[in-house]
Amino acid sequence: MNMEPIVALEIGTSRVRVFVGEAREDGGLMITAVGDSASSGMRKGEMFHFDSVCSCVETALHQAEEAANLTINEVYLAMSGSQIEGMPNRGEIPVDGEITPDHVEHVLRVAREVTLPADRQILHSIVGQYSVDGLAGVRPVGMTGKTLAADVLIVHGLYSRMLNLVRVAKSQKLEVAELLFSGLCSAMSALSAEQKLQGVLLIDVGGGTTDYVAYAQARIADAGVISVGGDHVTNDIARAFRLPTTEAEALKIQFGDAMVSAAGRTRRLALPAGAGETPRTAKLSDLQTIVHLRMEETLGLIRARLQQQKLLHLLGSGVVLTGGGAYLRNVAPLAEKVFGLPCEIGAPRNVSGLTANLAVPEYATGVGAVLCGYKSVRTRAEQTRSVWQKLGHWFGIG
Amino acid sequence: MASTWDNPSDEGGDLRCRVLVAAVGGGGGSVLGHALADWPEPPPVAAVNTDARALAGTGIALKVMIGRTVAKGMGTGGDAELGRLAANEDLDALRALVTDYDLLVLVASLGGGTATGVAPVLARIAREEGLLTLAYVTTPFEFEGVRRQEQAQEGLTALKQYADAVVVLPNQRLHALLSPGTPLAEAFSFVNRMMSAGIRGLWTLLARDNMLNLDFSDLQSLVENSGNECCFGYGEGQGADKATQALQKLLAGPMLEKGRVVANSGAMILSVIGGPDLSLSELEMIHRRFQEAARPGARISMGAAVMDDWAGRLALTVLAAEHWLPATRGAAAETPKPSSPFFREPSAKETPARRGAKGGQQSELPLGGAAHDRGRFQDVAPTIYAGADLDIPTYARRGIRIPSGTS
Repeated sequence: MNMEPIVALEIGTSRVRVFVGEAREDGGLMITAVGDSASSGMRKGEMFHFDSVCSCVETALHQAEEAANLTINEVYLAMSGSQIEGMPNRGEIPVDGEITPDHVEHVLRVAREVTLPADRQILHSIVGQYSVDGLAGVRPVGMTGKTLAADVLIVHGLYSRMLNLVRVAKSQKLEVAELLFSGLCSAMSALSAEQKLQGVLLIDVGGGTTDYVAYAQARIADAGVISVGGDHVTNDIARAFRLPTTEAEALKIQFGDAMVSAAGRTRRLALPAGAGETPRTAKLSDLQTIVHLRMEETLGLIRARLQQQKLLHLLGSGVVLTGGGAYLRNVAPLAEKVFGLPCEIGAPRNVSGLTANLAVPEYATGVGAVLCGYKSVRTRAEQTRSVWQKLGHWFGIG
Repeated sequence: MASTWDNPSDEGGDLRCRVLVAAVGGGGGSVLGHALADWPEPPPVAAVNTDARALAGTGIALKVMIGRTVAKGMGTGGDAELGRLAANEDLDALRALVTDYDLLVLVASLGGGTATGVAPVLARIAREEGLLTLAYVTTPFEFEGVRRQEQAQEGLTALKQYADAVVVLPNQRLHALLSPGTPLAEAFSFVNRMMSAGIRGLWTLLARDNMLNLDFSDLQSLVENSGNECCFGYGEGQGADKATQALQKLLAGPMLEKGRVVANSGAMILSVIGGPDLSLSELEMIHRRFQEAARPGARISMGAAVMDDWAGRLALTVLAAEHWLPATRGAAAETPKPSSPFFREPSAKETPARRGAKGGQQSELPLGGAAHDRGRFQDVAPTIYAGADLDIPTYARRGIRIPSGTS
């Protein structure tokens, strides 16, 4: 199948990235170009300065266009922000006898029919599983039964926020093919089919937000955003040691640790001093404490949500961490402690690249967005083909 | 916070806010002795006194005897100067007592010699060691005489210089609650009961994982709005209309001067302790009643804890800023509070006041002021989750002390 390159635009709080992907002969995906710019104008996953964001997008876009030697017209846009919420929902219809594709379409329509406040829009409604007469996880077409049910996860967000991001894209003469929730994109690229089958929790720790997606009982079960990210850790450090943000960020990257170590209690760090200031030192364990408390709390909020949704014991494959926050020292041991589950650092899988190493945690969202786009194009192509087949059939050809 | 999972962490102990409750003098000792009697998980408690016999008689395990030379193991006989000398004689012992903690809750009955003389010294040492100090004090009944009254006022003024917040319960306000024939001993025992209820009400909400938590930023915000003087009220109710009863006792009772304190106050903390039958509508009603009674724009934080054996019972503790202080920093500067750490540099947001700069080398952010300093998130909507503003550092919300660096 010959396909146009698929381009993902990820507008995050700390980075704006563009990924260009092309389909390989074997059906896999190859990333042919990456554009990457520091992000400004975003806080906690939300835009607060339109023009800054536009110029960051422009920078990243140009980089990618030059590297891939093409003009980008259409993007799959990955977004986050605390306004995004996951809502599990179930639709049920009576059926009489054999279940047909029409029944399935009908039950999905029912499951996706939710009443949201007027300012909200559905971003994704993902089919989890079908049940026939209470038997879950079946392929319904062809079976017989009295009731057919579908479980879906509806991911919705504020319409105005979506519109603003689309406006950013428009300012760069880009059409938005689809808006995607960045957490789902990360799950798309970093999780294996087996992990999803056994139940897994993906946590993408970004600069402004922490996105999570949970798979349980072989289906997507929950998703959401905590609007706390790496920036909060930096801010906490800046506040505690009275440092400018840039210095606090540097300190976090060099010494930040999600666990408090015994050695940290005796080791002292030199704090960067401004002109005319007396040099100061701080205990490493104090820095570790700041980071530990923040991360423990954030992961704890996700844990509390999953516990409330009764999903915690269904995560057989444990926790996968992606995003820039996955680089934080000892964040995996901390997650193991908080969730009581094995935890690994995740990165995009089965994706080859022309240039850089793509298997890094912070690329999970962008690569995943390309994958989402790729999948959606293929589905559309198949649907179109099937329509033509039908038509051809009617007209006596094919 | 929502981190309610059982996590017998080896490091956990170090990362919680370490609280020491210290009773200074005989009165403070009786209050805490009372409180400890049925306190399921008490914090570490210490008794500080010059009087060897009083120390021996108290139920508090950790005893710090001071002023052996000046007071010779006796009481101070109502002489605050003697109390001060006794404290100065044993500065090292007091320093050793507080040094490993983050928050000191100081309990004293001002007016007596030991409490009045020692409490400000202990608060000063706590500040030098970088602790935050919350003092719960009573002031004498009028019948105790003018001298004790005056001495108590002097002690209060001195204490306010060093404590981060002083919660005052004027005994005289309780007078109206006592029937005319009440024996003296019973009057004091009633005071003790009220004080211990007030301390426990706040402690329970701060220390445990509750249905509706209070965190240290709530306390900070109160302190910031209070000009470091607060008062508290306590009311209990039983049966079906327990919330109404508790409200009635508080808002019409003398502890909050028939609601006058609530009407004037700029910030309040409501702590509700109830049984498993505590209902949302009761909490809503309590919150609404206070909101209606308070002046517009008052900051009201509410926490609720459920105790298994409290069915059919409800206790409501209110901690309120005694005087209205507009929340703006500029206005705070108009209030002459040169001695309060929170108003030391009201306009200089960029250079937070250095605590403890006098004695120790350590400096840190002050308790108040920090509450609303959201750093880089200043200009965006706060992330409120289960009542907590997640943009405020976790350590600050939990009251954990991080020294801002040693030069």
